[in-house]
Amino acid sequence: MLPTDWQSPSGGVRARLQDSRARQYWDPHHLLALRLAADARDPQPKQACCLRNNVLWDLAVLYPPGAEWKDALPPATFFNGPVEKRKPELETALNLLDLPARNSSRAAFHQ
Amino acid sequence: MRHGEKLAPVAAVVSALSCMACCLPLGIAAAAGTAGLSLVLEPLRPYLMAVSGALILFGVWQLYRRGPSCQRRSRASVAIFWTCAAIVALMMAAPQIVANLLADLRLPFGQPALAAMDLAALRADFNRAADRTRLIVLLSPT
Repeated sequence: MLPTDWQSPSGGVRARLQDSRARQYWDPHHLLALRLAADARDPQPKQACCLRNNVLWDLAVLYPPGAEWKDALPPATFFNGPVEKRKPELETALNLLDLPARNSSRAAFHQ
Repeated sequence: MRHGEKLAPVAAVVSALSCMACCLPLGIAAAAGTAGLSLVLEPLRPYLMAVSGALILFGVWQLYRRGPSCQRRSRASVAIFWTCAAIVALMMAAPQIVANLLADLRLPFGQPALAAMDLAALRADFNRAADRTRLIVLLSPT
């Protein structure tokens, strides 16, 4: 998305996510971002930012327990960015799910 | 005459630097540096490797075909040269292995290696963890 985003993340970049449950992916063609946009629907909240060249980026998406990805991604309970500025809201959303963060399965996608 | 006065000290400096360049393994260090840089600048790798190869040849010339200004070949220069030559050769032969070794040194403990995006595989992983909260974050690779 940025002019400097022309190669996969280095070990140093990946090391920013230290959680052993995290899975990190390299998505140069924005496959997941396009899928997230295509499958967005009510009651999923609409993001207040995070579009560049009509592609989602710098976005956090939270799915509750029980949500399954069938033909389309399920509606997310949190869908917003930029990630750095939405941390308090994201933590609130996690608390609303009444689940400690340690029980969540996380993934990060570099695009 | 005036020009000569101005140029003489400049020529002396250039001459001194040339003499030092003959004795110091600058070309060798530069060769190792460009080879390392090529691991990061993937698209430029062929060109940087060519520069590395040329600089190694320059290092050979410095060490074994030098002029009369450098009378003795130091052991340190020879050791540095062959160490750098080995590094450059390894990077030329197996650049991805070297890159992975360097990257793995900084990877978070317990995480699998970086994977290319495969939506089908991701969906399977997503549904396998359906009993838990899942958080997806889209981030820049830089």
